Amino acid sequence: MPASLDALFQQARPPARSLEIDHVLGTLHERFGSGSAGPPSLGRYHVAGRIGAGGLGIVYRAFDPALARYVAIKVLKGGRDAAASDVRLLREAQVLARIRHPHVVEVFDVGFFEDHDVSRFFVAMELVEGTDLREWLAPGRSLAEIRTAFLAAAEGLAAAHAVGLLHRDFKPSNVLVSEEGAVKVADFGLAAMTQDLRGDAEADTKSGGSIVEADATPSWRPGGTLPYMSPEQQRGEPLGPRSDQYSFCVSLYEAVYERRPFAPRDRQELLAAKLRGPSLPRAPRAPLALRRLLARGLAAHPEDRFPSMDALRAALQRVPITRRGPWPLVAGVVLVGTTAAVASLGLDDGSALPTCASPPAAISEPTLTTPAVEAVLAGSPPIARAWPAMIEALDAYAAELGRRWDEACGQDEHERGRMQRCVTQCADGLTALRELLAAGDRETLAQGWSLVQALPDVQACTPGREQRRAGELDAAIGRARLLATAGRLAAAREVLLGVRAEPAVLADPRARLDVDIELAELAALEGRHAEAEQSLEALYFEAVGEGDTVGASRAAVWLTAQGYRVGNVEAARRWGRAAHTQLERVRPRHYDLEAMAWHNLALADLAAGELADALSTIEAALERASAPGVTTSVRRATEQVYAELLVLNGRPAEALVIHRDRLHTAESPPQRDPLAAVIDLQSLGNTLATLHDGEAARAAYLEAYETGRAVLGPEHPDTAAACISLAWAEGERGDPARGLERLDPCLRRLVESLGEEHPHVALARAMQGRLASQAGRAEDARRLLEDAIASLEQSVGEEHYAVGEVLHELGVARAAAGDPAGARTTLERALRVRAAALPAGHVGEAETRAELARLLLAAGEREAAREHLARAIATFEARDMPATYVDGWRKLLQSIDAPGSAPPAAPSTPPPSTPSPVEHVP
Amino acid sequence: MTWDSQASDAELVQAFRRGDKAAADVLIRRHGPRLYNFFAGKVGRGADTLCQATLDDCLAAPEAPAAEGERDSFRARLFAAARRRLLDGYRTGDRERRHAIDPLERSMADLEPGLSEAVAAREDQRRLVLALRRLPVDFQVALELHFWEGMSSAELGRVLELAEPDVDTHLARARARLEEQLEHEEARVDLTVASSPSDSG
Repeated sequence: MPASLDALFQQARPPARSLEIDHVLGTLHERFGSGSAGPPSLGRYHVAGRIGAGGLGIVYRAFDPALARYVAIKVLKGGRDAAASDVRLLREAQVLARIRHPHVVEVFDVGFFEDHDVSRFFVAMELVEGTDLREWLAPGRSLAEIRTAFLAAAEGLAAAHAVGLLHRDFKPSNVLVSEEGAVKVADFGLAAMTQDLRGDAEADTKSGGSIVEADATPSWRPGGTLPYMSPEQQRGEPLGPRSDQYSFCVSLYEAVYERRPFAPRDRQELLAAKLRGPSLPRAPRAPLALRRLLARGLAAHPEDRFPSMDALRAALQRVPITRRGPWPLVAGVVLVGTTAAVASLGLDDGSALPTCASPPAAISEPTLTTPAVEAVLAGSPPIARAWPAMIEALDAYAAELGRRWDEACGQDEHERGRMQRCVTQCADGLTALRELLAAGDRETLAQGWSLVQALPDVQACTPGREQRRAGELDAAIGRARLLATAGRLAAAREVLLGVRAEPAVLADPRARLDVDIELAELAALEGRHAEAEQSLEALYFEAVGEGDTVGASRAAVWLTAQGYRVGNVEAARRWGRAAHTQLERVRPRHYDLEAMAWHNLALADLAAGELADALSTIEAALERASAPGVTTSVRRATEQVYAELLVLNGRPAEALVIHRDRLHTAESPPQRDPLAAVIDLQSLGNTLATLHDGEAARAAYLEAYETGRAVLGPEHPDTAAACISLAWAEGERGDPARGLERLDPCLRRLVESLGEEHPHVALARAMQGRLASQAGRAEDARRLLEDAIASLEQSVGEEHYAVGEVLHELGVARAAAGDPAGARTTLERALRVRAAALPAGHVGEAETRAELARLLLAAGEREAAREHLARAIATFEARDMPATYVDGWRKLLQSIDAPGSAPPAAPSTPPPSTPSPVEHVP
Repeated sequence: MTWDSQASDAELVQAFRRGDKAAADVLIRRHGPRLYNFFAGKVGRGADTLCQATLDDCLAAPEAPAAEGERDSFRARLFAAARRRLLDGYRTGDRERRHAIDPLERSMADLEPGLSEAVAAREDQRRLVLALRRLPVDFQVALELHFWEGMSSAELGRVLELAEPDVDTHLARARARLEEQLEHEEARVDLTVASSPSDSG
């Protein structure tokens, strides 16, 4: 026995020299010795490096001197004795070169080469710099991205099948993704070839089947990767294109669900699981059409799958990817760095300090209404309405500056100088604005409050703010921003280009970056979004390269907002994370930028329908927004979104606290921006409505509506939204007819400005449906609600919480119309959707449960009714819903328990109906 | 300084430590292939980095200049370092409390799903390589170094961290296990199996 072991070892001694050994020795010589003698050669190629090693062989990067280009060369394991080339193998391999397709890695050359005394098989192919699909998918991708990548891979597979080539080992690590994002399938048929190489000792007929379609001989040793193998491949049966299809679908499943379809590792169990079929649960990234596709592609029998990769590809193309946005369901204000020009504290230029007795003139001068302005006011009622408030705001700003000036004079000399310079800058800004307005340009005046907001933030004139750049540059940027806000985009551009050309700015990378960021944002205002995005991306990377973390953060924050605005949630989140990473390195910390970054990220989360995530993100934003030195407007905007998100997460009582304590306290005019006020009041109304406090909600909505009409004008979508909410309130008061009257013109305006498919419009129609139901118009109600649901399914997806809400309304409407069976089906579906889409313990889910319980009770199913009702009441209590509301349900529950009592068919005081979905209309 | 191929390992190492790179070249040519093969037959990828790291360990470590018998031969030290590097790559547990895996229990087939880098030109070579990978790591190491390198018990003791008398028992057990594996190997169908998500292409 030992003798035969000896012999075995002798025969099996590993080679003393080989290509790989040469390569590794080369690297060792370079590292420790006197350098390498030159790259090892592989046929005519010069091996330049090693890309990786895998199950089939080692991949090198090599240089092809004949064509002067770099290629990737895969050297398969399993060589054979020298000079024993295999004609058949070569011929088969040449089939590979037949495919020229953008989604297939191109094969340039195949053959054998002599690696010392071993003959080895190599494939020279297109060098794809990048990564593979497995790594690409690792961080998590959206369905849209996954689909794009897999469509490309499917095309590649289809192209190969068309020339009679099977892959036999399709899996994500065999799909390459270049740095530019091009997707290419690699390693066609190599698994089969490797088998052939190994199978040389066996008779030809027994070696692995040909790589060409329709195996004549069964492959007794399936070369491939077990989890991705079709059942027929695992059993060693003949393969066809549908086997590749199977592997493709396993990969697709893995990408979508982020786990394998079949868990067992043991071969037998695995096969059994494949024969049983995969489980296809509902999931955010798995719409129904996609699940059906996977079910078919993963069928145990090839005949049950798609007839071809082309057919599968067409089906994949048809899977609806719902666009999440640009339609967020909350009018959260997107924060960008330009909401307020930051007044710097001014460099110490050595000049004498201004005396305290003579503050800048702007502080004491009033804002004048020149004849030019009067002319404009006379011609435009909305502007005339806004004008007095604007004067008040500007004068109050001046007064604030005066106070800062006085404060400055109480500081030590150094601080005083800085603060005084800051105040002077702000005063200059004020003067500039007043002059602009005084000119009486209608366009400018129509900008109204945005201009006031564009004034340098007075709060920046506090000690301790970091000096970022020279006062001159800041002043120029401030002027440019003012001009941009006033609609004078060309003039703004001129100012920026002018200051950029100055030698001091040209020489300073950070200053240049600041100006370039402003220019990019200007491009966005001019409507050139793609250009702006590109510039900002480039500026981001430049800033990172320069180590300018603040500049990089600003660019990233802007890109987050932009991603959200155009509805590209994935991009928004990516940039949000980038901003976060950069900001972590900024010292001292720029809490305002951090708050903005998190704020915008929360909106992106919301647009993706992830309520719980959005809430925790906004909490992070709020923490930073509450830090000293952050402007009030940023903090308020963040608090407002926070309150909205609390409501959306089913915690209205907590939201109300925020509203009462923080958003609606009496404040001086400069901070009380009417634009924000409309949104705030709407939000307050929604909170109160969720808490079933109809009267208070109505009051808030009324104020929102009237403020909106006064300041924004009746055409403005925000006014229309407030109007719709008000209509809801009328319904609640028992006057749905009046509500419908009010609703009609507002809805028309909303459709005009947003378009029929917009989710807000769908929700408004749902509102209409609800009112119709309350008014007794059952058929109209049903039709409107069903249309709304259909529209929402298209725009936000059938799993979205808004769909759940409207389903709830439909259920309630059907019950009211005397269709208990229909109502029940609808409410059951509503409950499923809401339970899946909303965070746990959400009052919305509880309300659907309660309504369902009522129906069940009426149908005599006491136990089921009781269970639902008890759960619902528990949630209401946990969420501090008002007692008057919960009591109604409690009575119902008691009636179930009370022995011998019949379930009340129509309670004397009907339990309050559920709030409208309008809470999400801004 | 140019070296002839008869120079001893010890001389070459000393010279390298004094900055003579040509000496390193000789060492590399002499021992590189066996070092590479040590790793290639075990790991699925990364044999090249392991070689570098091992050589780093060997050449950099300050040692008593005079070799003390076979146990301290360069070859023994080289493989001892290689084995250390190999095992270090598989420490389990979280960062605070990483424990080493037991080389008398775990095999390369456990630790590295997917085949090794080894070229294994022929069928019989592959059979042996696969069977070896299924043995506990220290058995695999012992057999390879015994048969292919002809290492003495003293050297093997150094590599495996065993006392010299225990080496023979160890080898005997390793042979027995290998024979077992080879008998059972007939029944196996081998596949490019990757049982964990981290499968190689």
